[in-house]
Amino acid sequence: MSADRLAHATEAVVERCISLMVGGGHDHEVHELARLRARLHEPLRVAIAGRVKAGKSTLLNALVGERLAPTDAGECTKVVSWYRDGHTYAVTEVGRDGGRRELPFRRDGGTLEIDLQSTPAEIDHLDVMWPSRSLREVTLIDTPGLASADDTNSVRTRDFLAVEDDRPSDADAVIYLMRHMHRLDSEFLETFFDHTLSNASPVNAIAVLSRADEIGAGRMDAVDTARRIASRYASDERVRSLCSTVVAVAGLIAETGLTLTEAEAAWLRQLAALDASELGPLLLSADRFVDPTRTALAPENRADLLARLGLFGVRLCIARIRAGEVSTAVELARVLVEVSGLTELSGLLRDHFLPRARTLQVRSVLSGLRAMAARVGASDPALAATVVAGVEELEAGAHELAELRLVHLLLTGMVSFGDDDAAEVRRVTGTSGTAARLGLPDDASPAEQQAAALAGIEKWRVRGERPTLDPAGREACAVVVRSYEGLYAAAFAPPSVADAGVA
Amino acid sequence: MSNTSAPAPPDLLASALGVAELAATMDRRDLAERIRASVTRARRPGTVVVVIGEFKQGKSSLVNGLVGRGICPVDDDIATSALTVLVDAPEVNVVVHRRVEGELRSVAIEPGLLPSVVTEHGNPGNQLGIERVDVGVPSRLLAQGVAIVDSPGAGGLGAGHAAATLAFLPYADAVLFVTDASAELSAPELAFLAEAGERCRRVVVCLTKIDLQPRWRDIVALDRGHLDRVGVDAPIMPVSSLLRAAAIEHRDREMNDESGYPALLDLLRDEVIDKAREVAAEQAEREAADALTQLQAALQSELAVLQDPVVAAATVQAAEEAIARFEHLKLAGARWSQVLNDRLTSLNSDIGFSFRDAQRAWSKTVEDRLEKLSNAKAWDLLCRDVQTEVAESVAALVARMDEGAIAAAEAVAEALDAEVGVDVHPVIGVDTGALWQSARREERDKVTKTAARSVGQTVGALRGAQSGIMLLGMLGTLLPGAATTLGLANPIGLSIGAAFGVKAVLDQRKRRVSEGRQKIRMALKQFLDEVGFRVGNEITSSLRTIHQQLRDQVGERVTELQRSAAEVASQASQAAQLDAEARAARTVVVKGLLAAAGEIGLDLGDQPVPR
Repeated sequence: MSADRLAHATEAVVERCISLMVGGGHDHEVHELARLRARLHEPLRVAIAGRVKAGKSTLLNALVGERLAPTDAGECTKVVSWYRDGHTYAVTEVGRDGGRRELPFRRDGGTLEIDLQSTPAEIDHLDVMWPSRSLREVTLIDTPGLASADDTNSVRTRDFLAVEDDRPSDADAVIYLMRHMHRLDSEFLETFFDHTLSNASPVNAIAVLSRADEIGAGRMDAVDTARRIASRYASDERVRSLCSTVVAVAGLIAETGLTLTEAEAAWLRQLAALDASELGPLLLSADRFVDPTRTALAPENRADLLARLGLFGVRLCIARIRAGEVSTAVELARVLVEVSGLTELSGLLRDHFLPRARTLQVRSVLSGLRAMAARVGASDPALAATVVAGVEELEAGAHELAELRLVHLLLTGMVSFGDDDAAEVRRVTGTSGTAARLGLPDDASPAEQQAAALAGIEKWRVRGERPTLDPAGREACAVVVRSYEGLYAAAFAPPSVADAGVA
Repeated sequence: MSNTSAPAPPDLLASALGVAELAATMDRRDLAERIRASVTRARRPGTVVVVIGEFKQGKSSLVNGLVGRGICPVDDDIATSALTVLVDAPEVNVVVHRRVEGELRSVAIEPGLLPSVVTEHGNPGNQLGIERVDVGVPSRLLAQGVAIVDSPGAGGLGAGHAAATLAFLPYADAVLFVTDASAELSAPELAFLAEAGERCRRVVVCLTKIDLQPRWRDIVALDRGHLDRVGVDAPIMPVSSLLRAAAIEHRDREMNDESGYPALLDLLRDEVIDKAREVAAEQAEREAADALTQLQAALQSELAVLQDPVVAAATVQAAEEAIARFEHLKLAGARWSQVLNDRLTSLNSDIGFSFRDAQRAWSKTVEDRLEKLSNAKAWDLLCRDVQTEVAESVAALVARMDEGAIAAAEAVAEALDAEVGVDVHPVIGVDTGALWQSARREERDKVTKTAARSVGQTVGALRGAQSGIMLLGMLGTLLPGAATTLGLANPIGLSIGAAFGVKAVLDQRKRRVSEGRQKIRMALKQFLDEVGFRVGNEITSSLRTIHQQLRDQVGERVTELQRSAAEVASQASQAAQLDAEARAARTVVVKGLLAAAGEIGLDLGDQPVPR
């Protein structure tokens, strides 16, 4: 079953549930089922979560490439906000009671200014429809910060991510933003994930070490330091059991890099032309940089630059201009985006989340169905049993879900193989092309591919028969064998068919 | 805020010094020295300033900014991992206290090696078992008697660390809470500040890294709002350690002002050091007044003999009786000595009992909760609760021990007073009780909630803070160690697998949970055993020290009083033998001295003048 066919089968199960429930006094469930069904046709939902002031809105803007989500020095995002592609620009307030109300909005200095009609407590989420190429494949969801001094904001995020209950989350995948933390801190993992996040798993989560430009006191090597720290986190066993990897991103630099104007570039050039004796003291601190008594460039322009780039960004641009490497807005923008780490993050989204988008969505929908079954089970056990049966039938037949589960078990340490074997399992169950999944070069002949697949089947079949293996390990081996079988079949077929023809 | 450095009540200290001078003139070096020592203490009272904050907020840079030199290692990534105490010294020196097989060993090391012992990089997970590092460093702030305690950043406000730090706060004179200007205060930070505000007299929020944040003023306003909301009366001081370091390097006064450090140092001086000075100056005043009374009594009885040599015999006899009585007091059979022994024995068994009781309670908490442990969240909570419970009960024990020591000192003073007898007072002119009770109770309570530190003279200056630092160092070394062991046993992967659960996995999960529980039980048991052993040892040795110090101090005072009585006797007999001319001359001298004493007495305020 391919991912698309799995999605179709899942939709069929949802529809069967609807037909069972419609007219039976289950209006609420039917409504929810319709939403679950719709989800299968939407882009992947990626939530951006993390502690208060981790830079979530800034990162969202950087990923969209436009300044949409409002940002501020203080805590700013008070309600969960969805940013999705659409045919027109519209902002809708969705109440806790399900009511939808379209809101007027302005763009103030680039970011959206929205007048909420209800209090944050009454709002389930804001739905921002925004025609954008970046939102075509993913819907981005901005959340209020965890560990907020204003408790109600944190509660809203925890509600949304379904941190504490068994309710499935509305997000299919999570980008978790973290500030620099200590690995011995017992809060570390909690800050990381609030680790009971019911749907979270290394298969659908990426962590971002955010505000990377501030880590090294804004020195020129700040982002490199941040990268080093991120890779150290990523090699921590406990971190790996929570997310697939950690990358450092300087959100503000990225956001501004994508929206830098020629005027801003001209101001930067003007500053870069200053004498070193004047420039040095100016760049020493934020207060000095905007000091009205200093004469280089109008103070308000300096303040604008600082707000857009931060002290690190300003220093970076000026250093590069003075070195003669760049000069125009386009060139500066390229440097900023490159240094920010955004490219790496986008690459991860593209390679890690998107190829599995359908499977992840199916997983969300299935856990939604299970939760619903648990809920109606008290009043109508027969109905619940039918729903669960449908879910289980799907789960049993879908190799994609088995692979996803295997990767989860492997990454969380529930099933352990040696390092080499673990890498092999990850490769085989991965999302790249057939040859790459077999560990062969792209131009490997079909015969070579078959041979590799057969060797894999043999190896893992033998291993699965070891008497010392626990049940989970045995199941894991069976999944790997199954994946190799799929690859063996795919090696015969032309690539286009291979994608659809596994299993 | 003024920029003049004003030592608290100067007239008072001048009068005290006057008494010292008078004592020296009268050949009473023992009294003179005691007063001079208390004046020195009043000029540089021991004040303890604790620096606390979450990981990576710029704690070490703040400490460097305060002492005015780059002494604590600063790194973008790797944090300070050991408790560091900075005190004044003529040149930089570093002493490392580490625990080797239960024994505390202190070694002086090259200052250049500091990073290798106090950072995560040089000493990962504190594998060297370092409990505390004392750094001596020349600094204008420290020269005023300030000790800076830099709490390790490893734990931040998490789990047991917060508990250990909070337990220490009653011993601190001020808390500098470090948070950077990149974000407003978070919920855990605010919760900690609210607790800290309850436990420490002065809490100051230092907003660091303002050089990097253009909107730091907004953050100040937001933090102000948060602090007001939770009712914490703490000033917010914006600082830039980067500007401070640059200003010191270039000797740039303007930049120094910009760094915010001068304002912070002023605040510390006005609200922390001066307060401590006032308390210490009052103490010096009391001691001086007591000494003055002794001196005046000696002069009065000499004058009486000079004016009427007939009374000499009676005076000498009274003084000799007093000497004999004091001699008896030096013997082991003296009642005060028995009172001291009894009090300390009962304190010992009381503390021992409370400690065993606390240990039982810890084990019970662990056993009760382990059985119900089902997911990672509950596990983390258990871990935190056990650490908190241990930290708080150990802190309570230390406080109780200090209180017991004060009570014992008071009982000893009472017994001594009864034993010395009222009739000695006119002879040596002293109210003995006042000598032992170095601080009046209501003042003590005003000064600190634990009442521990102000015993000052009696139990040894800074004793309270010392037990506090001991406590912090000990729990600090135990807790991260525990967190690491426990962290590895953390069944975290188990809780998030639910969404993927099939039967085989769920069965296995159950097995893993019970395995995990077993591991946790072992780890916690080890942690509690270690705490039990270390705290037990610490209690025994503290009680022994208290006992010895009380005995020594009473002994010294008795010797001093005996000396006063002997002075009276010898002056009286000498005076009686003088011829008329010499007597007249001596009378003038004694009257002069008495007049001088009277004047100093007026400055010192109301003190009992015999007759």
